[in-house]
Amino acid sequence: MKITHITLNNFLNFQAKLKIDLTYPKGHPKVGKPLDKICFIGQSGTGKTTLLNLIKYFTCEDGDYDKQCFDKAKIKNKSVEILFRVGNDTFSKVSTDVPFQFNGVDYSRKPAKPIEDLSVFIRKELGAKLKNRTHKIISFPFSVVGPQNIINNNDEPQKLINPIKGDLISDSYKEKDTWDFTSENIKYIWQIVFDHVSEYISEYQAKEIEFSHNIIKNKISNVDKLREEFEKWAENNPNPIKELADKCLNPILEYFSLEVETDINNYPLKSTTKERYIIIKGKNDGKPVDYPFLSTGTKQIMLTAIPLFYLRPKESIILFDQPEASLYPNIQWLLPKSYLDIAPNNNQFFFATHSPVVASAFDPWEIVELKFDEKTGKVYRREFYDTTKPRNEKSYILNPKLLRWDSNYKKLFDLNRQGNEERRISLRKLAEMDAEIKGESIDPKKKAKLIDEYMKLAALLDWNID
Amino acid sequence: MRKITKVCSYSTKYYTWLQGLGASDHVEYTAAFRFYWDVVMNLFYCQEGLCAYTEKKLCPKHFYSADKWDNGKYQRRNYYPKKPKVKGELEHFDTKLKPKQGWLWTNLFMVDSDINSKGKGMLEIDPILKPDAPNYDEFLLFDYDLDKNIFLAKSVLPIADKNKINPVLDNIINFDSVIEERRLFFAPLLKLVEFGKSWNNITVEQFPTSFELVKRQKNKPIV
Repeated sequence: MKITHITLNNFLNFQAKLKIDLTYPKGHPKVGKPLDKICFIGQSGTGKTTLLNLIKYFTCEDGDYDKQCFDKAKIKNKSVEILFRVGNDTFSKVSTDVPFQFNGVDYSRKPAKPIEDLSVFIRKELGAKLKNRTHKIISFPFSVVGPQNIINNNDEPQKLINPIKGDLISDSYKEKDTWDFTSENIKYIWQIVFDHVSEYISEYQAKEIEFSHNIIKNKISNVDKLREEFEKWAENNPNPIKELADKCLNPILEYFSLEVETDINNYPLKSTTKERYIIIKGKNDGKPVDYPFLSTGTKQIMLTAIPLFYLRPKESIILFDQPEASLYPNIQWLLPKSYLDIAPNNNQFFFATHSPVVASAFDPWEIVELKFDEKTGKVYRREFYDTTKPRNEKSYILNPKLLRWDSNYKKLFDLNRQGNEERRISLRKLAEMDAEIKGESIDPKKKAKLIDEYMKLAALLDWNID
Repeated sequence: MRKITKVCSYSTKYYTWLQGLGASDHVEYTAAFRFYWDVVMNLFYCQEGLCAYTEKKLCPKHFYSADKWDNGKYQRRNYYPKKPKVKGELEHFDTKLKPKQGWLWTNLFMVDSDINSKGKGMLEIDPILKPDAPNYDEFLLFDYDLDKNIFLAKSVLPIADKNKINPVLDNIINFDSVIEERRLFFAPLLKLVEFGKSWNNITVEQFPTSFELVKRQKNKPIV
C-alpha cells in the first residue's frame, strides 16, 4: 500500500482544497504510480511534521502509535482525504465528524463506491492484496537519541525491554503492524537483535568447544575433516553480525571511520555479554569504542538503521522526521539512499527535513515544499514545474539534484543571502582594491603590497568574489 | 592526469627482489611490508609528489630527495622514525592484480586517499588512461573547461574512447573536492594575470596539466 494523494480541505492552516500529488509525473517510467520516496520541506510551522503525523494517523487509525502527537479533534468532516493504491486499485480514506474515524471510497469501481465500514473492508477485501506487507508503518521521530534510548554498555538485556511491550516474545514482533518510535522504546528492537546475536555467538562458541574436544578425542589425523565439518556448519549458519555489518551499518559507519567487529572470536563469552553486544571499532586502529563514547550522530544512525534493517519492512510506509539531526552534512546527503538500501522491499519513505543536503537527494517531483502565502498566511505547496503546462517530467524548472548545495539553500530554502553583513562589506573592499591595483598611476611597491592584501582577502572570501 | 615516467632508480633493492620473483605470487599486500616505503617514495619521486590521477600535491619534495636512500633502500627509520607525514595511498591500477601481484611496480601509483576511497572505489580504469603507458599523452586525451574547472575528453576523440574516459572524469578527475581545489588554485593565478603577470612567468607545484591547457588557451592568439 502506498499513498498517492493527500487532500486537505480547511484543515488547520493549510490552504483550502490543497491537493498534494504523490505520484510520478508523465514522462517518467513509473507515471501515475505512487512515489517511492517523498521529502517534505518548508519553514518551521508550515506543517511538515503534521503531514507525517497525519499519515501515521491515517495508516494506524486507532492502532498502536503515539496519539499525543496528534490532535484528533482538529480533523473535521471531509477535511482530510488520503488516496492510496493497493495493486492497481485506488481507494481513499475520508475523515468524518467522529474523531478517529474515516469513511472510505472505492475508486477501483466506476462510479466510485463509498465504503461503509472501512476497517471491515480493509481486513476482508484488501486483506489478500495486503498479505505481502509486513508492517503497516515504521515511524522515527525527530532525534531518536533521547535519554530513553541511550544505550550503555552495562544495560542488561532484560532491562532493555519496554515493560508495556514485554509480552511480545519470540518472533511475534514480525507480525506487529505499527512501529512508532515516538513512543516505542527502540531498545526493544535492540533486545531482539541482541538475542539473535547472542544466540549465534553462544552456538558458535559451543561448536568451537565441540571441535576442540573432538580434536583431542579423535587425535590429530582427523583435524582436516573436523575443520571441514566446522566450516560447513559456519557456512550453513551465517554470522548475523556480518550481515548487519555488510548490509546495514558499515556503509554508513565508514564515514565515521568506524566499523562493526565481525570476528566472533573478538566477542566476549556469553557470561559477560552484558558488556557489549555489537562491538563497534575504529576502522583505522581496530580498537573497540564503548557505547557511551560513540558520537550522538553514530548513535542516531545505529538507533534508526538497526531497527529498520531487522524489521525487514516490505510494502510498508516509513516516516523520518528530520533524520539529519546530530549528523554532519557529509553524512546527511547519504541518508535517503542509505535508508532505502537498508529497507529495499517496495516501501514508501517520507522524510521531513530542514537540510538542503538531504533535499538534494530527491527528484523535483519527490519534494513537497510547503510555504506560507504572504497575503493569507495559509500554507500552500510550491510546485517545481511550470504549472501553465501539464505536469510532465520535462516541465520541471527546478531540480535539487542538479543544484550546488548552496544553491539549494537559495532556491529551495529561501535563503536569499550570500552570507553575513561582513561578507558584503569585504566584497566592497575587494572591489576597491581591484580598481586601485589596476589604476595607471599606482606606485609599483604599493601595487605589490595591495596585490598581497587582495590575495589574502580573496582567499578569506573563498574566491567566490564574482 | 599527466604522463608519468616510472623508473625505479632509487629503491633498487625492492626492484631486484621484484625481478627475482619472476611469475611467482607476491607476498601479501600490507603496509607492514619491508619495501612498502621504498615503493611509496620512489613513486612519489617519479610523480613529483603529485597524485597520479588528480595531480594534487600529496608529498613535499624533501621526503623523496636522493639523500633519503642508502644502498638502494629508503632510510625511513633514520629520517622518519614515526611514519612520514605524507598524504595519499598506493593504488593498484589493475585491481585484479592486487591479490597475487600486489607489489608489481608497473601496476602501482600514489594517489589521493580521499579520491581513491570515495571516488574511484572499485572502478576499473581503461588501459588507454594508464599514465605510464608508452603511448599515453594527456594532451591528446583531455581538454580543460576553466569556467567549470573540469576536464573533458577531447572533442575529436571517437565516442568509444570518450566512453572509456568519462567514468574516470566523473568519478576521479572531476570529483567535487578536486574541482573545488582547482577553482581555488586557478582563482589567484587568473587575478595575477589580470593584474599584469604573464602566464609564461607563472610556475606551479600542482595541477600541471590543467595549468598547461589553460596557458595554451590564454596564449592562443586571437584571430
